[in-house]
Amino acid sequence: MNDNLSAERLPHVHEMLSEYLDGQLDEATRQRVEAHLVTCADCRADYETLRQTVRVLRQLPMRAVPRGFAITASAPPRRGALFWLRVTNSALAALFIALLAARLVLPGLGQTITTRSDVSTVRPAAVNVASPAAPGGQSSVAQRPVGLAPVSPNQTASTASEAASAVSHASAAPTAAPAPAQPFAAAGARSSAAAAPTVAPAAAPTSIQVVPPIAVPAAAPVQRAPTATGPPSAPAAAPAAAGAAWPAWYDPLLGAVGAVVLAMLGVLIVMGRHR
Amino acid sequence: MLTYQDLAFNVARRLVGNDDAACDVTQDAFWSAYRHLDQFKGGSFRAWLLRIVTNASYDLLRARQRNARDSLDQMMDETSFDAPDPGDLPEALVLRQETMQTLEEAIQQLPFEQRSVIVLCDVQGLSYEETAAALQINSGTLKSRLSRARRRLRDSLVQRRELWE
Repeated sequence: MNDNLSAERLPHVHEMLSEYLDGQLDEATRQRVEAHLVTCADCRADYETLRQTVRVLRQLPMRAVPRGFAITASAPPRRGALFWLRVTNSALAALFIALLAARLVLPGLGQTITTRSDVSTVRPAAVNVASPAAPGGQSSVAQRPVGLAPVSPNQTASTASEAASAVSHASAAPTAAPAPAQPFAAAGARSSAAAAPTVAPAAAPTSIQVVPPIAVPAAAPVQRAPTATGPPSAPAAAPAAAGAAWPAWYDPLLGAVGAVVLAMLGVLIVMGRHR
Repeated sequence: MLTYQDLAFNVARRLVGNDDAACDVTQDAFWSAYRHLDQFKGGSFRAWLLRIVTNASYDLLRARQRNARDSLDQMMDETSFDAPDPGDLPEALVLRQETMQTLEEAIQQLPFEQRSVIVLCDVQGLSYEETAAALQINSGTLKSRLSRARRRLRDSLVQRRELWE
């Protein structure tokens, strides 16, 4: 019967030796294992080496604790510093990526915005210039070639009455007057009856709508908006405005943030290696 | 909890392989236990605390393995004891120190699952129930894992005759 048990239970006895060593087997199983160990030299040697292994393991001494682990309110866990360093580094890395992306993507957008701002600044300049000189300017434009010498406000005032009279004559002879002068004729007629400065605000919108391209050279002599004098100066103004979208300190700031991120990453790697 | 600091440190020390990492693991485990004390549902507090220590040790070793920083040789070097000068000790004691170092090195070479059962059950002498609770495994898994661990350790030590005398 023991032989049959040995043949059938040999793998199981082999696996149960560890439990047998710890006294974890029930009584019946323990007796079967002991009976097998009596007859099987291999299992007996197996059991003996296992027993010796456990014996030396249980003789391992306790190591002395290098320091205390008391938890106090002023003693946060040591890995807290590492954790916050990681969090800070991640935040700075995200900031660096955002700054870099903005720097790479937004220049075109910045140029578009500043070009629009150029247009918006040109318009008021043209209006400001044209409005006081409108009666004289318009009349002079109508009668002078483009690029004529600057016209001073005094000249404008003096020419206003001349223009008014000239236009009034022109209105008397419709075939000789140019088409744009038609609306101005009424204004000129009124300006001849009243003082020129008081008439000018009323005439200004009309002058802008009638001859905007020609009004710019006429306004140029006032020298209040030199960049708005014509198309040749516009391309030069655009890059300058685009450059102004990124302040001089932006690139150094970008580099500094990147350097800090790399430095903190190095510290994290070194700290992790020594853990 | 300070009652268990020797036990916690020794378990961590034999799981992670060096004093500095074991100190970090123990400190973190104590903080974690302190913060989550309300989650202790009764039973063996020692097993509950050692479960936190074991998990913290595993996390540290996994991070270490992920970064591929520690070679086996480095682990071996860090396993050495802070023993006195051998010239000042009797021969038998020196032999014992060497034996202990051999045993510690053999433990470090075990897979973490087997190492943890050996450390808790055989080195620290926890019962099957406490070890199973600390490792969150059932009794059958513990028995088979312990059997494999002992055999593997025995096979690595069988060359050292001094252990069998």
